[in-house]
Amino acid sequence: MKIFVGIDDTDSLEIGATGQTANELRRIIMGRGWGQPEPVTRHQLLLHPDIPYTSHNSSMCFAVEASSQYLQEMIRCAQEFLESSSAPGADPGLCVAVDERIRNVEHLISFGCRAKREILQKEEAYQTARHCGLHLSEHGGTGLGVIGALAGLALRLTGNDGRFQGKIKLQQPGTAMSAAEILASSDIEEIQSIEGQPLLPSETVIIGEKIKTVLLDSKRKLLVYRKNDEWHTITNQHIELY
Amino acid sequence: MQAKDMFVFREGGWEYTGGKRDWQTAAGIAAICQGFMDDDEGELAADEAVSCYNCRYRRWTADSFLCMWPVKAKFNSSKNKCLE
Ligand code: SF4
Repeated sequence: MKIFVGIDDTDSLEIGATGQTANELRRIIMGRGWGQPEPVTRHQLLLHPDIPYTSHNSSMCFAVEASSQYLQEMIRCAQEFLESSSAPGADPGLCVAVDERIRNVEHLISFGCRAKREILQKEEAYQTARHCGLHLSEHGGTGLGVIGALAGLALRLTGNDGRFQGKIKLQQPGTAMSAAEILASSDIEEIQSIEGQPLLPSETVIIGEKIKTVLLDSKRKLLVYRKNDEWHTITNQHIELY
Repeated sequence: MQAKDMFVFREGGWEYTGGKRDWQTAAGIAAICQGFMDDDEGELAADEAVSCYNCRYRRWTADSFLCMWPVKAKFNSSKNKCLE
């Protein structure tokens, strides 16, 4: 079965990063032999003065294919890890869901989408988690991270939100690679322009400094843009929109 | 133009007046700012490595960011002294 793990608000202004925390948790899960987690996605939530986020109000989520016998142990392990590793003053939240046990998925997804546009309350997050059959728990501070943890997981379920964390190595920046070569040498599943046009396997892409991928159509996609009549991998400046 | 002219004090911190896509100025400010600290790789927004947009102390707002560098936060007057 597929288990989704969402976490949020584990950092403070100067210590920690929720993306790193999510990656460490992935490594723990892998190390215990519970499964091979998929890469972490980062989901941007509403930026508003009344929301007490540290610096970006983004939430992290990953999925892992694992046997049901590990579920409770995995939840306990994640809870202990958040409690021991979160920065002082953080408000960490944890959300865990098993795909085949999620109920009222539209309601859950609607919560995630609303968290990008509205200020939501902790009580509603708990109600939604109960209504949809998810584990949701807080692990220090105000516990407000439960809102983002639930929203991030819901947004990952849409298959159309967020960007992947971690680096992808292709050839040296400035090198030209065919779309087919890129797909064959990485975890990237598809390449398309920022306007949504898929690239043919034979088309050439100029590799940029950092390779950024996004979650679209439930796939890890590399986005490219047109410059000087060539395709280039998107830069940090383009990724702001994802 | 000096770096201090690019910030106004608002409740919560110093707000950058250049918005979110003022790449050159944000890089110029960070280059001379003692507070600059790299943010996590996954949170970088500018292609210039040293930029307010890539600084751990920037707190995104809907239209721009607040500088939360604690040294700067002390000067909660209309003048951004630490950047002079
Ligand atoms: S401390 Fe503030 S002014 Fe200095 S680089 Fe960071 S965000 Fe910019």
